[in-house]
Amino acid sequence: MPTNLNIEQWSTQLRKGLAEICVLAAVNQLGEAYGYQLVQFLTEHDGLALTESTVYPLLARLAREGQLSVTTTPSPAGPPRRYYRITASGKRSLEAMLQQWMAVGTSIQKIICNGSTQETKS
Amino acid sequence: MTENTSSAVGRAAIDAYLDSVEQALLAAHAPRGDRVQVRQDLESQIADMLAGEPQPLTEEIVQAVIAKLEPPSHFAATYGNGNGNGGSGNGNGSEPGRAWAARITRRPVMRWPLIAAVSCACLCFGCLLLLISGGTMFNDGPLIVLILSLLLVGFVLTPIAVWKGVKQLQSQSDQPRDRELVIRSAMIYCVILPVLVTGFFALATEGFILIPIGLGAFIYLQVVLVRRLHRRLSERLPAQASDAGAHAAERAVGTAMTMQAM
Repeated sequence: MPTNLNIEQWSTQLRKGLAEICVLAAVNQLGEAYGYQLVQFLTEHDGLALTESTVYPLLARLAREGQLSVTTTPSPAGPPRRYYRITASGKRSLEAMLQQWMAVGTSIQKIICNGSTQETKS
Repeated sequence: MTENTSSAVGRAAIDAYLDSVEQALLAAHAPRGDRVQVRQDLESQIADMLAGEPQPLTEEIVQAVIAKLEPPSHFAATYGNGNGNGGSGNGNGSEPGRAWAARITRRPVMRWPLIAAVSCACLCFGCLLLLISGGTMFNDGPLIVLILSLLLVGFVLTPIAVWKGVKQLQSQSDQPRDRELVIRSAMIYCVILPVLVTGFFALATEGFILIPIGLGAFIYLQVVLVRRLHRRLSERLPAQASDAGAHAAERAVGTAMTMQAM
């Protein structure tokens, strides 16, 4: 039943599914960024609520898959920082994801608009 | 941790937190490389957060910073085996949701090093049967089918499994036994394959192929022998007078140039 739907739980699953595209897009936009910088950047965007427990494992996986390249450089604050940069493969994945995102978004928008039009008519 | 963040203060608490995260990732079957990377990123974040705190640091400040971080179990959620909320920080992943995520992320993983070892064993066993059966094998239908099946499986599957095993170990290198399996399988395959190929062609050409192979081996041995002899003699015999003279001249020129520079 729609009334029993846990909206928080639904939005968690939604964000989880979109985490990869957000991280790739953020790295692409920043050019080069270290982990905490990305977490802060993503936290600034309300609604995403992507925290370190999602971002760091995702960065590790994307680096393992060759979608991000990693450079380690010394940091004035302490241990060396790992800087992430999007690779050509990562850019291709991001483009494909964006196309899918646009297609899904457009379709959902159409369904919602049709629904609201019919409600107005009735 | 770091020199400028009062290295000793709160080190135990930070290590305990990082160890807990690593344990949670290990329990979720995260690859070793991922665990190391997540730990490094987190350690770097803690250092950054501590750098923004008033100095000198105290245990309380470090504890407060660690308290701002997420529970270690949340880090495992990405790998489909965590008890956390999926890392969003404000939700509680339901059981159906988690089961769905687990089905997607925890597909059965093929142990390619083990497959390489098994297919290599098939190859060895096939060769052994071939040797034992000897000349009688052609009269025995089921036996030759078994031998050919074993040889075919080992011949085709071993290189594929070794290659896949190498790729798997590169991404998840915390299985020392698997590493040994891949190395040994590759070595055994490299020993058996030339023997099998040579034997096959020898049978097919009624031994004629052994003549060029023997000739090639003979030439190779000659080259190796001559090279070794040349190296040994060059090492043991004194250098020629012209060589010695050239070296002396070089030394003299070098000395003169040094003196001029001074």
